[in-house]
Amino acid sequence: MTRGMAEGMDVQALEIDQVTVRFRDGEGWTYALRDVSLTVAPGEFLAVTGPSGSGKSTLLAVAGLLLTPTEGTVRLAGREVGGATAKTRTDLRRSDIGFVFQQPHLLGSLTALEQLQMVARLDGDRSAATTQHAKDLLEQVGLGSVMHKRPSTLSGGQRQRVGIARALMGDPELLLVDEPTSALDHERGVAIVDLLRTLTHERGLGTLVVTHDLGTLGSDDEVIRLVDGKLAVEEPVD
Amino acid sequence: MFLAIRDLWWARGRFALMAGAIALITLLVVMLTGLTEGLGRQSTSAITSLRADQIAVERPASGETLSMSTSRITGAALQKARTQSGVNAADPIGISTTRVTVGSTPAPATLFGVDPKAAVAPSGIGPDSAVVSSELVKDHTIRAGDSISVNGTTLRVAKVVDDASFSHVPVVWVPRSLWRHTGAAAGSEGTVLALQTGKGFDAQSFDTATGLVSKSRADSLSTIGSYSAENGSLTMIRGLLIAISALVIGAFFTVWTVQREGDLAVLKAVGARTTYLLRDALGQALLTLLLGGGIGTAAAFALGLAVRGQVPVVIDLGTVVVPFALMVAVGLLGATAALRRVVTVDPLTALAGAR
Repeated sequence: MTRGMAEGMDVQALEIDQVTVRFRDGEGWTYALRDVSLTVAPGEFLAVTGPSGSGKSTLLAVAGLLLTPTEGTVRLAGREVGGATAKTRTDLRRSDIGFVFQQPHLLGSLTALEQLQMVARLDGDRSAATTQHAKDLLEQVGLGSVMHKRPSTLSGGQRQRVGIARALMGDPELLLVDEPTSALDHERGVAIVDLLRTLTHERGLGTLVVTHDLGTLGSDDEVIRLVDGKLAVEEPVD
Repeated sequence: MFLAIRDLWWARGRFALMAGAIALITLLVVMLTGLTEGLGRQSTSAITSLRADQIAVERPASGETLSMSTSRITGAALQKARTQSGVNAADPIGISTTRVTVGSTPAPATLFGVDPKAAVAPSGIGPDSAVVSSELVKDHTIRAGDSISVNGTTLRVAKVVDDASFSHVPVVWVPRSLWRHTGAAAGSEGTVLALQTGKGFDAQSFDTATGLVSKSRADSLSTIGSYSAENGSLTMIRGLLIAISALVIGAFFTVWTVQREGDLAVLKAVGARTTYLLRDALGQALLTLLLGGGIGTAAAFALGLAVRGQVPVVIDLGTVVVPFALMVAVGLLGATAALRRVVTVDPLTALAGAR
């Protein structure tokens, strides 16, 4: 089953084609994903829901090149990356993919601005232009006034915004978001999803959001559901 | 080092404790190194300053250890030694510990009895004159031209030479004829034989022909009983301290890395190469070691300068910089043990569902 908005687009931000992930479980196999295909186009905001153990995180791990599928192919911006070496996958995560984690996972010793500079440093980039880019991103997510504060002095919503800005630091093609609202109250959760949606459209990102919190999604958002590792029927948010 | 430096500052309490522990261990290691060198010199400086290539001692009876304190050079051995190929000079030195009288004050001294014209004899020594070590002068008011009494014989002090001690006792160079009248001689020609050798000298042939055991001047120090025991004990303590420091540093950085595993997973997930994280972690360890080790070394240097008049401690490049460098190197080795976790952290664990 294929899902996405690939129609009419030449190059997709993400293409997952008939991906299966299975693990040895005693004498048999446990399937985390079964024959899943989907595409995420530039500018598309796609949410994936499903119960615990349905394969949402596995799907995110495959899309983020953290896990190599047992079968099937993965393409990032049109490039086949399923068989890439560990080093290439690391480099692609740095250059083409932005991650927003459930907990923002910010580094305690770094200020908000340094969290973003750190990403650039991974590429050896220490330029003033990069610092300005980081400041612009923090301004864009509404954190211009707290960019020199450490995570411990920021609210949960602010920390998640720093995490989003950090994910955008490398100007990725694809944004992968893991349960972004689970540590936030409903109001802040909605605000974060709104921000993600806006950034997706403004920056032409392909965004794949894994969430169990349908209440934070908008009525126009595309949502797909995973059940037992398989794509289930599309469902409206409301 | 972008992250390493900020982590150091952020967790400065923990790193200060670690640096403090490293500083204390370094202080101990540097002081012990200086003390070992100082005590060693007190035991051996009279031998190390000899103008001799080889020192020969009597071959011990079966089951006994080679020792200058029990060695006796017989007349026969001396004669054979002087005829061996490659031996340019073979001078017996009679060594015994006794008391000399400086003015009316008795003072412990090691007599080094040598023939005044021997190659190893210090300049100034004669049939009625002695040469004394500056160590003896330090404790007693004595200068060239004064008299000292050795076994009832009065000798004029011809010269004071730089520190020359044997088994922690200052050396007084006396004519061998005088030494032979001490009880220690027991009819022998000397205690050891100082050899000046040249082309054609073969230690094995020499030993076989003379019944002596020849060793290079440096190797012969092991036959000074007190030196071997002291040096061995202090070196063992130093070795244990260095091993402990490696363990402490390894344990600290292992715990620190375990605490950072979440951060490391996230960094890998966002594209940090393992080599980058390894460099960062090693750089952090190096900074901690340089800071702690530097403080400890500076403290040891200051302490050594303050006490070196009272304690036989040597403060120089070899006793300060070398142990500091050793501590840093061994500390890095200990920290390397923690790096395994940096390599094995799975970026997948950064995702909620994977934890």
